[in-house]
Amino acid sequence: MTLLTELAREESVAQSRRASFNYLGKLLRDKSGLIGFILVIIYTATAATVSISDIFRFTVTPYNPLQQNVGPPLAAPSLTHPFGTDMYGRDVFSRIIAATPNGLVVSVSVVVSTLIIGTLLGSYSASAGGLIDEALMRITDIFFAIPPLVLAMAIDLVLGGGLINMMIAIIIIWWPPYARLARGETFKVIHQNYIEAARISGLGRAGIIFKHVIPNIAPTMLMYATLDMGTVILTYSGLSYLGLAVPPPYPDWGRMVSSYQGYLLEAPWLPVFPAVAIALIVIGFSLLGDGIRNISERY
Amino acid sequence: MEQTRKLSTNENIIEVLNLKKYYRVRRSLNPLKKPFYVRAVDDVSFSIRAGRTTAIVGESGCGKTTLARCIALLTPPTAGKIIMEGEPVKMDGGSLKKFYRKVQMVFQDPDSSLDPRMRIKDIIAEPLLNLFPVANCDIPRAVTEALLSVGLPLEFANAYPSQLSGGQKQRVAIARAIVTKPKVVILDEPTSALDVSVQAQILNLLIDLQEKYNLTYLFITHNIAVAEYISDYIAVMYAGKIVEQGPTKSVMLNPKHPYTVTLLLSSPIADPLRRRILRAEIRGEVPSLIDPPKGCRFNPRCPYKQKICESEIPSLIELKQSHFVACFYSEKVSLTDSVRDNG
Amino acid sequence: MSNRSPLLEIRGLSVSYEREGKNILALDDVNLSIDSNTVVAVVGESGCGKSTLALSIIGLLPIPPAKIHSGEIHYKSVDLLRVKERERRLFRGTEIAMIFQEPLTSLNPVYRVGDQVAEAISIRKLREKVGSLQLSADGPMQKVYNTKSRLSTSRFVFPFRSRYSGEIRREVVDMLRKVRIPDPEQIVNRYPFELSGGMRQRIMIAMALSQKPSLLIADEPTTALDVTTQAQVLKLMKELMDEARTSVLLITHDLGVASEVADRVIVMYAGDVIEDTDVYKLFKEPLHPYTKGLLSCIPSGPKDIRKITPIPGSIPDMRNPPPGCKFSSRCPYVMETCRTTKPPLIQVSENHKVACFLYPK
Repeated sequence: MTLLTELAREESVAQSRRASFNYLGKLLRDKSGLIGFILVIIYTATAATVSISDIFRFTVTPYNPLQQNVGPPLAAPSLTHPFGTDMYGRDVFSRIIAATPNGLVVSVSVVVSTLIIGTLLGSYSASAGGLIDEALMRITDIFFAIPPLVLAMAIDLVLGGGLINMMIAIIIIWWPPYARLARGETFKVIHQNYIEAARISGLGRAGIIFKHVIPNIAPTMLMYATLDMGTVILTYSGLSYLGLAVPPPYPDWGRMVSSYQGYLLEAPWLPVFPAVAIALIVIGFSLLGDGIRNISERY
Repeated sequence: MEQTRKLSTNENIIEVLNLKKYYRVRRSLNPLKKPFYVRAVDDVSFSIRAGRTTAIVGESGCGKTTLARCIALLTPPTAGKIIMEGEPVKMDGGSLKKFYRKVQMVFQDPDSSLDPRMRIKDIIAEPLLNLFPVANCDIPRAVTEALLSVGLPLEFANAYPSQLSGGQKQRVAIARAIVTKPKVVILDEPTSALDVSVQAQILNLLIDLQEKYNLTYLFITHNIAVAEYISDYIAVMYAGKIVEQGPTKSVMLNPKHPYTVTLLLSSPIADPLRRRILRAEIRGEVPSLIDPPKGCRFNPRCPYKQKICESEIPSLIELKQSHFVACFYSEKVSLTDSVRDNG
Repeated sequence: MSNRSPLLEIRGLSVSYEREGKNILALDDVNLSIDSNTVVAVVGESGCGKSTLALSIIGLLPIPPAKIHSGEIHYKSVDLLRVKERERRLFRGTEIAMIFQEPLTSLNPVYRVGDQVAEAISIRKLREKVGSLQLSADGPMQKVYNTKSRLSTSRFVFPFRSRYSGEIRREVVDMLRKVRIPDPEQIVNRYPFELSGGMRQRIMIAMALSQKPSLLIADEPTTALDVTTQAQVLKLMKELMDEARTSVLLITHDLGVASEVADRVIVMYAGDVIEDTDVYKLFKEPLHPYTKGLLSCIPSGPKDIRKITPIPGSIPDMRNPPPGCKFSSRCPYVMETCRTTKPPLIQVSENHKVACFLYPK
């Protein structure tokens, strides 16, 4: 047993220290993971900078994104205005930067909330079984049956629009897949002997869910959540395009696409920038999620 | 032959009375058709003696694992009673905790019985944390003692299950089961998934632990040689019923149920001079539990079958000193005349 | 049994697997031979390489991650390792048949069992028609494998009856009766999942036997079965193989099973053959310390009469196999030379080979 003892000792000591570094290293070595990671980091850093600048009231953008006529309207990209100006003469580059936090904040809030709600509901449903499971699943079915965007729009309108209400609206339609996934993963886990061993150790249902089920379904849930972040941003951008999110004059990529698209003939670059901004972050999350999935080894 | 062991004041620490566990199976979508029942455990009664090992032997589908799970209160029985130290057991939260302070379990598959995301020391400590919340300060000492008594080095405490071999994982499972110093440990095929040399280590470990902590074992296995080795009392199960039970030596030397004889004859012996499989006449297969044969469940395969065996179910009758058999013709049954020994 | 050349002869076979950048040694210079019409049991615990051995012979080793470093496998004077895959295929399932541990996964779940046995019989009939084994790549045997007609969908729709000629259908039923399946006319129409483990294993035996192979490799054929079913299947196998004069290479971890059915036993440990003798000698006079240790591990009788003595320690790490004898770290008789030099497999008496420095030539 000596060799195994040696190995076990080395590995267990190193395990706790190296675990996070190892994971990151593997992620960065994967092609998708690397690109996704870079994109996400760029966006997150930008968003953080903008948010901090808002709180502490200093400017990071070259121009005030709300100020009109800082340059000739509909000017082409140049050194002074890297993305050109829009129809009101506002600097597009500044507007793009300033709108960065919106999608990310919504995405993070929505995903975190639905992750929590869905995981709790799904794992409880699977562990309870029987009628409770059936009832909860039928409720999720109802949400699946209604076209999600329509429902989100309706909820948002009822609540009155704006960023927070949009978040709530999306959360309400967004949780069912998480619940389904959590339920499926919980079923896989709940038949393992260590769950029965936990019951014999005196743990009740809640204890089993939090101590045993959730840590074991977490990898799959987190992987799905990461992939999902991009989808939320896309949905949010879609709703913003319809004018249901942040109201003018505050910049928001989706709405910018909508208001700029009329100028496609005169200033073709105009709607491209916000569209690419949306596309890149969505791709970024997607690649990051792919990378995580590639390096995940099932024990 | 009599061993000097400490006996608790109650000779029978657990008694099982008329235990039944039926699972409902819907065969067709028609709600009017009556459902079928899988009679996994069909009216089983026996007692577990304190400080000794009682083995339950049978092939797959005989109901022994279901029986073990019922006794461990993991599934509620359909009927019947389980009596622990003289009191019938209830299945509400508080009673369950009380029960689990005295009864623990070791499972068959070492890979799935340990949470892969927990460290060994946390796995072992878990029963202590949940069942004895006041003793929290003692936990490291208890875990250390448990690890050492199952023969694992202390360095393993921080390891994860994936770093251990099958035998080592099973030792951890045993450590977890004894850390609360229970009175009874139910072992469901604890060595079936292990190599023969590892099995030998675990079996001897179990014997040592029983001696050290005065444990009572309920040992479920399909391997009759292992059952004979480790147990003091044995019960043979077939199709949800106990067909023979009694002191191991008596049952092994003088089996009186045709199925027990069949089981013994089918078990390969590591001695080519005593070959018997090729001479034994074994008929048929393990029956389905949904639609078992009428009368004695073993009758389609029994060489001693008579008319009555097809219509009536024999009950367990005491032949001599605690040796019970459920067979109408047990006097005729003998191990030797089913096989002609090699000269 | 001793004058004719052996049916199968393996010389110097070394195989390793590559996993996560490391090389795991599975077989280390293995030598053994099997005569015709004998049952040879290869016994060992998990990790000893016995399954790798079986897969190497029949050519089903997954390469990569496996890698054959060296060795020759002579079957009827053909070195199977030096022959192209197309020719190797002609031996598989025909001259050398194999049955596996879990019959549910070795039988095709979407075809009825009657069809699967009939397929095996058809191949045999074709072989008989073209005479002895055709090794040419364009020969009629190859045509059997290339034909697409067996993929027709009528398989799914029509019961077994309509697909094959009456003669083959009769043979299938006869075959099932031979492996003692009750009600064979009914069973031919069943799918594998409808049958019990014992029945499925009998179907496998029927398929293997219908090829009239000279060698049957059985990889833990009864491990997944109940003990009474195991007894029935072992008895059946032994009788049928005796009758067909087919040699059996029985891979098992159960010394009891080896004792019951084998004529010869080969014991493996960590990729090495460490003892090779006839079954009576092995159990009566085991020579290698591992064999002795293994025998004393087996429970037989109650604990107060015969206490089993486990072998201390565990198998070495095959990523970094130790030099010298692989059992040295656990051997009660270990000597200095054991740790540095690997003991060769030598003949110490008639019909008894062992790889241990305790025994001079």
